[in-house]
Amino acid sequence: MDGACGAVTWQPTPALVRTVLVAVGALATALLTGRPALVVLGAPFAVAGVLGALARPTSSPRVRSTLDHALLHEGQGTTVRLVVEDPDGAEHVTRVAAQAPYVALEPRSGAVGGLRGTGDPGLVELAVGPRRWGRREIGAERVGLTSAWAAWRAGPVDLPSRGMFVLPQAAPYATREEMPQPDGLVGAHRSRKVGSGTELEGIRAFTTGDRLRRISWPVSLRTGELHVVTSRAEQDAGVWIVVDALREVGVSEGVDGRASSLDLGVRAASALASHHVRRGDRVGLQVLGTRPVCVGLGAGRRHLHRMTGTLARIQVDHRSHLPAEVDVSATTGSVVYLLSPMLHTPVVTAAATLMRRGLTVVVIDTVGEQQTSRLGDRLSVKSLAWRMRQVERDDRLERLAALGCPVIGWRGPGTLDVVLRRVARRAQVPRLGAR
Amino acid sequence: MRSPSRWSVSATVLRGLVLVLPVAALLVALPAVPHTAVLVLVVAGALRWATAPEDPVGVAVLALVGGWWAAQGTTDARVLVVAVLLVAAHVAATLASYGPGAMRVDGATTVLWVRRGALMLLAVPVAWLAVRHLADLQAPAGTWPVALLLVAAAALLASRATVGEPDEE
Repeated sequence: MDGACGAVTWQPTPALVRTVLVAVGALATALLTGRPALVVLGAPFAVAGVLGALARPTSSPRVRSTLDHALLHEGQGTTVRLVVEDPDGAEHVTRVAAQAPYVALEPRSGAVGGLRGTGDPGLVELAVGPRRWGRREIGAERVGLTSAWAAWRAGPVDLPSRGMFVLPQAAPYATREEMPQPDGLVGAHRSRKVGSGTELEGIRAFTTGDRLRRISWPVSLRTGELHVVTSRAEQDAGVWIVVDALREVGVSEGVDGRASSLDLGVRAASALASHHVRRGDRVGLQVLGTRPVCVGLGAGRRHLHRMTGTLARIQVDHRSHLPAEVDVSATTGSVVYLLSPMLHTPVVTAAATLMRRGLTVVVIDTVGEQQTSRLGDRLSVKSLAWRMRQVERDDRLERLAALGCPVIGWRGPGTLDVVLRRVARRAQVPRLGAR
Repeated sequence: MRSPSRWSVSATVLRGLVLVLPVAALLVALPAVPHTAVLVLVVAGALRWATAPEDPVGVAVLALVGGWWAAQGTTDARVLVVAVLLVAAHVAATLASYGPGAMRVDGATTVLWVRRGALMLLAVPVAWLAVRHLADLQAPAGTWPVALLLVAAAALLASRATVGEPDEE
């Protein structure tokens, strides 16, 4: 990725103009008025003026910048390198990067300067680091080249920014629990069914149709009858990750600060997708927003990249009207992770509908620990409104819990361990499902 | 996210020098005190120059201080000190004008400009000795008009040399 500009010409700097004016003025006045002190005071400026004027470069420099990395996760950083073509005569380089929301700069001011060719390649390098997922403008800067004696300047030149979709932080997440309803052909989850996996299920007497390589010779010799080793089938699970992007609650301070509900949802979704794809599961993604997005079930790194890219493109339109109902499509036997602040009735209704259809739904609450101090006094209108929404939300969550839908807050690794264990145990009990 | 501070430490020091040095050049004359108007104009001009090192007011500040010293009609050793202070102010302003106030001025550039300042100051004792020597001599007829013409020619050349070319669009 790079941004470039056309050739720039050299113009005299105010420093050169100052030296020339002071020198000429002092010497001329000294001669006209017979004040010898002005000759002494003007002489050093005459030296600087002459040397500066003689240092006029004849080149036509072109500047462009390049980014070391084209793809970044929030919290990561890269270097913006400056390339100067035809730099003859340029002694000093000044770079001033534009401040952009959720983009950290090193140095923090975004302004860096140094002599060209002092042997320190990092002297005039700028480091940038996106602090939040989503589309970020990176690389906009103003560049100026200065000749010897700071007498001539090329630029300043404005280099354009480049839009980059920053992927959500790959938050550490892992669970050792199995998916409640493994339902597929490949994957690393143990099935309840006996099959051709590697996990030992038991040893039983040989029957017609058993494979010879399954015979357990030690047991057969000891008992005098042929016995075979049986194992459990390894099956994948269909996992749907549903992100509620209808509204964003709270203020995002980037990867280092407080997280909004959408930050929590997107980061948790990214972590879940990464975890399940690593385990060989088929994972799908649905974004509930004013313009719903769906990435179908799939597996592999390319599919994971597609999902994280979709997450990075999520935008919340706060001015839009909330839809009367949301449609979450998931096939029977899938596990659905619903990442939502659960503040909107259609989302809660969708979760309840999925539960009634017999799907395993786990609601991950993304409200998190929002700072209520920003809402002002406890009796302020904002504070009261927020508490009323919380009462409504608690009521909805209680009703969901009554349907058997677990609701948990996102806490990173191990968040879902206990819930998945309970759900898996419950899934072994036969029940009726409605289509 | 915190916003960056306005001026870096190095920029603050340089701008402080731009403010202080021209005033110090006037105070070298103590116990003689410049006229209040001169003092006020120099302080105000230096303040403006310190906040905007590329501002043309820098020329006015240097001209005011130099002019006041010329008006004293002295060529004693104090003029050397004044020349050093004015050159130092010019160098500090030039260093500060390389970038915005938030930019840290690196050590290599500072060392380079200290050397350049020393090179500029080499002309000061030469000029001072020449002025002191010539003052005792009777200059030949036509010396000063010729010198004036040479300065005028130099000014013309300088003005032609320092006119920039229009940017190519």
